[in-house]
Amino acid sequence: MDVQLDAREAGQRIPQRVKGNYRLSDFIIERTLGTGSFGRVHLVRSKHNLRFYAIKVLNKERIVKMKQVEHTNNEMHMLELVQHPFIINLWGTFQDASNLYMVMDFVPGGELFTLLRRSNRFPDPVAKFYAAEVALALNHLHSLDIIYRDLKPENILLNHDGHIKVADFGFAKLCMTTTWTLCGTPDYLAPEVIGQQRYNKSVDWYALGVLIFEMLSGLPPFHQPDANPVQLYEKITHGPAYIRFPTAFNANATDLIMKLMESDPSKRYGNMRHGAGDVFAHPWFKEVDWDKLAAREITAPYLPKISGDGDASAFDKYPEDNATAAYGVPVPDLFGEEFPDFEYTAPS
Amino acid sequence: MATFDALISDLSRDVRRVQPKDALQFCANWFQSRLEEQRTRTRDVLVHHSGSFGRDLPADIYVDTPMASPANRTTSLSSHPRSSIRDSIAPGPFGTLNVPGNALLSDDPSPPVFRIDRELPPTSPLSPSNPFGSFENAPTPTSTSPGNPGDFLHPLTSAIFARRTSVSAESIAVDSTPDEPLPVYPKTPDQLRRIKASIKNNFIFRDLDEEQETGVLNAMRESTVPRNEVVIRQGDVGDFFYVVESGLLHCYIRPEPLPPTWLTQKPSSMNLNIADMFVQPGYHPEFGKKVAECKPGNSFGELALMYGHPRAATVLSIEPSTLWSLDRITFRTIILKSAHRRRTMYEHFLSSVTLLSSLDAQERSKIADALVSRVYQDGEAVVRQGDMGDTFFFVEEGEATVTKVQQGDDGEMREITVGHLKKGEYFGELSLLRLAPRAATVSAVYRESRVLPKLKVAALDATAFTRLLGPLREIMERRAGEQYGPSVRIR
Repeated sequence: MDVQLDAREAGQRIPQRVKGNYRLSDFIIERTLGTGSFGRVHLVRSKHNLRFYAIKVLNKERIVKMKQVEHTNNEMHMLELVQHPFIINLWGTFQDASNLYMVMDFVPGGELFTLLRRSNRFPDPVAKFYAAEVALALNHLHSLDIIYRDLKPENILLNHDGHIKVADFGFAKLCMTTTWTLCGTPDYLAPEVIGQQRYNKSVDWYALGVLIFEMLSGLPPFHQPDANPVQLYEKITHGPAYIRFPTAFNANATDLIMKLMESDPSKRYGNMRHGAGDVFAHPWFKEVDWDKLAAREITAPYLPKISGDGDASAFDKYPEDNATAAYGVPVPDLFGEEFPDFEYTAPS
Repeated sequence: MATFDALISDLSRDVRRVQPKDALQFCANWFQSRLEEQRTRTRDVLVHHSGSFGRDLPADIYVDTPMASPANRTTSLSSHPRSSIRDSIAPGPFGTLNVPGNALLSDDPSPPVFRIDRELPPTSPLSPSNPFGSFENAPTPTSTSPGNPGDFLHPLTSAIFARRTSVSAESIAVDSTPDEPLPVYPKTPDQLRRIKASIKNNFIFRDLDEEQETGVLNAMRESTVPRNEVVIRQGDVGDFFYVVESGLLHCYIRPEPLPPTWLTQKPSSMNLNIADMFVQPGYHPEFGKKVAECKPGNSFGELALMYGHPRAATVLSIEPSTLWSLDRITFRTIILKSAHRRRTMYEHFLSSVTLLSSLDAQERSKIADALVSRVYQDGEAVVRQGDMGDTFFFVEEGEATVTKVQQGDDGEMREITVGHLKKGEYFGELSLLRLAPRAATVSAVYRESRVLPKLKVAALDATAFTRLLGPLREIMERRAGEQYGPSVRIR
């Protein structure tokens, strides 16, 4: 146990991941870092090495009811495939009678979402820094034929050094050519996804365009004040020509956003002959030294103030609602066979 | 005065929304953050009007910019203000985000609290520093027009502070075989016409092809509801879309969020509210305010065709009504299976082309994305002999005739038919390699019967091909190299 977790120190850059056998009793649950449709994410501390981790707890019954079994199994398999400095690391998984558990890095800087809303919007170079790191993460996923499908500031975490960690692989899956299931976040859906058509990895590049716009302006490009998705989808299908760009936007930024948000995937940046190369070579990214950036040798524009290990003050507070009391309780296990790759590790 | 009034009304709006405990402090912070925003804008404008400021500036830049000391003003004009402490930290090339809680700003007086506090406006109210001002290598703004002050001053609605939830449809096995028969509910031509008219402007149905549209119309099922029945209920997860055939329904939206103790907490105001509801027309005591009426030809609930989602409103029948309904799984099965069949056909076409045999499955898939369908009238030419062509075609449906104009034995020029093209056959593939004159004319056949489909071709032009995969010649050479001997793969 100790040895396995300590592998993190041996390879700081690229963790030497040893598949561990974890169980709930290995951890002390500290507090809730986030909540979602199927459960919540907790800050936890290993009883063995006293380090902090995040555990995502997913309720099996809710997953089955919301018909997300396939997506959940994909989430685990994709995270197992990926090791990249800008992508969250999965240490291991397990299940008990009612829940699935995913042990991941604790990323202490909080969500990019929180930082963006606090800042209202980012100055051009700051937005560029985060966009460039996200582009590297997307390119890595795509090189493994993984489509991510849920890019948004809420899913980008900031590490203690200010660099990003893309988290939440709930919709990630292997995709060699095309796929069909409508999923994502309304503000970030590409027009072909809304149009019930086949789509490919280029929807992630479309979402990067939306993200850059949102970072520079503070709001997504087709923002609807009354949160009416039907009007939002109407606007998305009309295409980027209808976006109102603030005049203070850098012209290169506007150009890149237009090229990423191109409605015709066969003309979209990131999806053509040179792949991500078109994005990396775009004039907006002119001053980016991609090798240095990938090696995290570039100082981030924002360094979270962390008072020590396990300081989770960057995350919003959520009502605990005594959720942990229901973990590990022996109840009839109705859905276990739906998730064959999550091991049962608790002593029965 | 107009500016003043606008400011005060914005302030009162925000105060009402935030309901600060310490109103005076809130107002002070609020003005401070507005001032910072405006200063930033002024500075940005002045930077690219350097030398001529004062002359080209829009009037609003002067308005409510408080008098700054001249010295102060020149510094912010000539260069971006730098904090001496930050200079010593050696910032990255992307500058430093000036926001409370950034450990790079050691002069930041605020505690490292990142939570969005309802008491605080989103810009840094605790910090007297400029929230966007200083970052080291800010490029000169390239826009030539001064920033429109309204551009960034979007109203601060509390909705933007909420995390956005992801949505997802059920995955549908598009390639499952055998195909289960799709539901068909017979309709009169009049009914079909009416349903078609009511859905034609809806974005969900806009891009359907003929086959998909027919499938969708067939699958709509008639249902009747008596008077005063809830068809959909606000907050319930919806699965159905409805078109009104006859009758009348009202849509209601309950204000959100509804305080849970609403009825019991304030008995005095409750009495008032209930009285209001009964006198106010269009206010339902349970479902809230009436927002729309649905009459024959109207439709509602289209979002349910995309993914399961809580309904935004309640719809109640006011008269006995007849509705056409369609559920998401059926809808998506029809749309996706048809699209998948078409897609498979395209990929199959492409794999049959000898010239493209060097493409792998992923490359073929990309090319299939770029195929464009076109329909031709009888006798209409797809390509003409002698025209320069850069487009390659498949016959998707219908038939085409190939003709050539040739000199006969008697020296006369006459058009002779040299071939016939059926579904799956292709022509013009060499134009992907080089621009060349067409060797023959290909045109839609004159159909013997209206029942036969018109000529439909899928077209791929060389520009799209090159854009997606690079020149075909290079791919062929590269693959040939891989096949016939070790060589360095050229990227």
